[in-house]
Amino acid sequence: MGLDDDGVEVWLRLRNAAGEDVVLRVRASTAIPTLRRLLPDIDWYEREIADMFGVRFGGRDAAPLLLAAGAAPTMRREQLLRARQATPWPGEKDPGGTTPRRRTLPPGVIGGAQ
Amino acid sequence: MTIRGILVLDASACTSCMLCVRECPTWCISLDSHQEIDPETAALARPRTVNVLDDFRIDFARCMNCSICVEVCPFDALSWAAQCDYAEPQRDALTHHWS
Repeated sequence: MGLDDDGVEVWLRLRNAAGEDVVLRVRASTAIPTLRRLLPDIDWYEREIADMFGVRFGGRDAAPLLLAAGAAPTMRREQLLRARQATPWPGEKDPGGTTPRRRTLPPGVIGGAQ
Repeated sequence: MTIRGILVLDASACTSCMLCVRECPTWCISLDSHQEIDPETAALARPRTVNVLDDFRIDFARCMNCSICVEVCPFDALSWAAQCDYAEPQRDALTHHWS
């Protein structure tokens, strides 16, 4: 676990018809070899993990399928939701409809509480 | 067994304190209110100002039934009804109003 490790760990759980169970864990600091040639059904899961967590799988097309164009991998929580920045927060008014002297913002909005 | 249907507001208990509006994670609650002099105190040396609720809205297209608004309300104005009256023929009708 070096300083360049982004902290994402991928788990692969395999279970066969005899009930034998094995879990493989690998840090995702570098590209992970793809298993879709061995297990074709794993392709969709690899695609989802690549889009949502930004994990690179060697030997496959890296173009996002599930992610909106220009969006950062959602599950890494590195990018604030764009809709939230543009939408006025209903809690900005004070009780009684008065305008607060200090502007407060909720979590998830630029300039708001963390 | 607790039946949890749709959110309902007891407008007589609401003081427009804005706590539910601010705590809602999906921003689905909004309200309009104004301030008035409490008539019972109008003649006194210190007239009291109270909040009057004009319109309380919950957009059930965004509500995720987390119950945070019910838990945070200091006056128990929000509660879960027994009926699940969510279905509406128009999108705008999913926003329920109380006043």
